[in-house]
Order: sequence, then structure tokens, then C-alpha cells
Amino acid sequence: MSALAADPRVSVQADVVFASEKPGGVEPALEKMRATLDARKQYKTLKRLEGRKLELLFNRAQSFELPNKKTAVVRLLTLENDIATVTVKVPPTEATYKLAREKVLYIQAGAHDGGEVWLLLSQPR
Amino acid sequence: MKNPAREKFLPLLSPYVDGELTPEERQQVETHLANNKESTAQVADFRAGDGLIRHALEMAADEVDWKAFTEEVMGKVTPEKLPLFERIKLTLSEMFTYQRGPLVAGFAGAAAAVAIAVPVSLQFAAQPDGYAAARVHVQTVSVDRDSAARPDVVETDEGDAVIWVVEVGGPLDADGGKKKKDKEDAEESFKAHGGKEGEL
Repeated sequence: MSALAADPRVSVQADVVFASEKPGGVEPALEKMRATLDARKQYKTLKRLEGRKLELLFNRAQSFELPNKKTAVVRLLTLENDIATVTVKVPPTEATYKLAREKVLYIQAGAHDGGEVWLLLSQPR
Repeated sequence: MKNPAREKFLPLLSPYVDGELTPEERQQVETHLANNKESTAQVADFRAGDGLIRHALEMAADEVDWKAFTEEVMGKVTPEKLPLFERIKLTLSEMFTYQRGPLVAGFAGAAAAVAIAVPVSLQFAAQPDGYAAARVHVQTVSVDRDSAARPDVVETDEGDAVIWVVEVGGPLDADGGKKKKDKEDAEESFKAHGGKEGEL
């Protein structure tokens, strides 16, 4: 039991989404994303390119490449009172944030193929 | 010509051969037989017939395989089905009577399994998953020292958060606008403002 407590780990779902203002269709599962971003940008194409479940161990970085050749790095900083604090680096930005149940952090991750790439971090289902 | 005595004893001859008469009737028939050859012959015929039938039955019985007889008969016998409660009661009674040892051992094993499983499952159920917060809270956002981009954090009413990356002086490049501007404030830090939208 103490080993479990001493070895905090958190699962994070990382989804990579292609977004474009050109018409191309919004996947039903991304309708919430469209509505969330709509006040600022009216994407008419939202397509999930890939998704992966990250098992984050304390202070051990996990990285993966985005379609636009950027490398995203995610790391668990703390796990206190069942609230995990995670850093995510998608050049040129690096953010530190607290995870929330069934909530999503959307990160604009750069241009790609006439549109943009977004990284979505959320609680795995 | 009819013999009245034979007419009287004729219905008793077959029961006599079969041993079904009372001692008194049997005595009367035997007295009659001593005096009547026709009835004596008929009794002999009955006995001979009985012997043949018995012999035939014995032969027929010898040809039958009786090995599975008991099982077949018992298999066709449907015991009277007791009500559920009675069946449970009977089963428990038999178990406690004849299988007390294994039963006690089983209960002890089950109790031990529960004693181990409950704390372990509670431990796993209580294992934090890191998602106890109700809202995503972006604590800090920084940008590369040589980047012309700047982050813009929005925390939505629904509890989600969006990090827009706004390029200063042009659309966002795949490399995040590096070297487009020599930013003096190379690293920006964002403290979220309680869900309100705003630039850093």
C-alpha cells in the first residue's frame, strides 16, 4: 500500500485533432470542442487524428510527436488531495495545470496541412 | 350325463391348483378328487399347464438383461418435488449432518477471502486518480524565450480550459513563430483569473 502511495500515477487521455475553418465536417465526438472554441474561432473541420492514453508517473516525462513535427511533453508534477498537477509542453508554450474530472484542456499546437493541430488532454473514459 | 358334484367343485379346481382355497375348501376338493377321475384329470391338466407357463416365463426371463433394470426403473421414478423452502431446509440439514467438516472449512475460507478482498478493494477504490477537481485550472503558461507567440488562456464556464497561442504580428506558424520577434519578455507567466477570458 505504501508503495502505491509513494508512486503516484495518473492516466491522461491525449487526443490530437486537426482543425480548419474550411468546410470539412465536424466529428460528432468533437462537437463539444467546436462549441467551446466557437466564440473565438469558427472551425468547420474538426477531425481526430490520433489518441493515446498516457500513464504519467511522478516527474517522469512522456513525449510524443504531433503531426506538425512538434513534440509534446507531458509530466506529472504533483498529486495532492486527489488533484494532479501536470505540465504540458507544446513548443513554444509550456503550461502547468490541474486536472479535473471529465474536463478538457485544449491546447492550440500549431499550423498543419492548411489548418491547425490541437492537443486535447482529458480524463480517460 | 352331468355329475352334480363335479358341477359344484368345477369352479374350485383352478383355485385349488393355485393354492387359493381355505383349508376347509381344500379338504372338500381333495375328497371330491378322490372320488372323481374326471376332476382329477382336469387338476392334472391345470398343473401341467401351470408348469409349462412357469417354464416359459423362466426362459423368457433368462433372455432379458436385468443388469440395468434397477437404474432404469429408478430413473423413471420422479420423486415428489418439495416446496423450495423445504428443499433448502432439507439440503442444509443434510449438509450440516453429513458434511459438517467441509462446510465449516468452506465458510472459513470464504470469510478469509472477504477479510482480504474488502480492504484491498477499498484501497483501490480510494486510490486517487488525480481528477478530484471540478474545473481545469491553468496555473502557469510560459513561452519559449525566442518565440514571437504568446499564450492566451480561457477557462470556460463548463470547467474546461483553452490555451490559444497567438502569434504577435502574423498567423501562427508550425514552429510557433520563432524568431519573428525579439521578445524582451521572453518568458511569460500566466496566473489564471477565475475562469475569465483574457490575454496574458
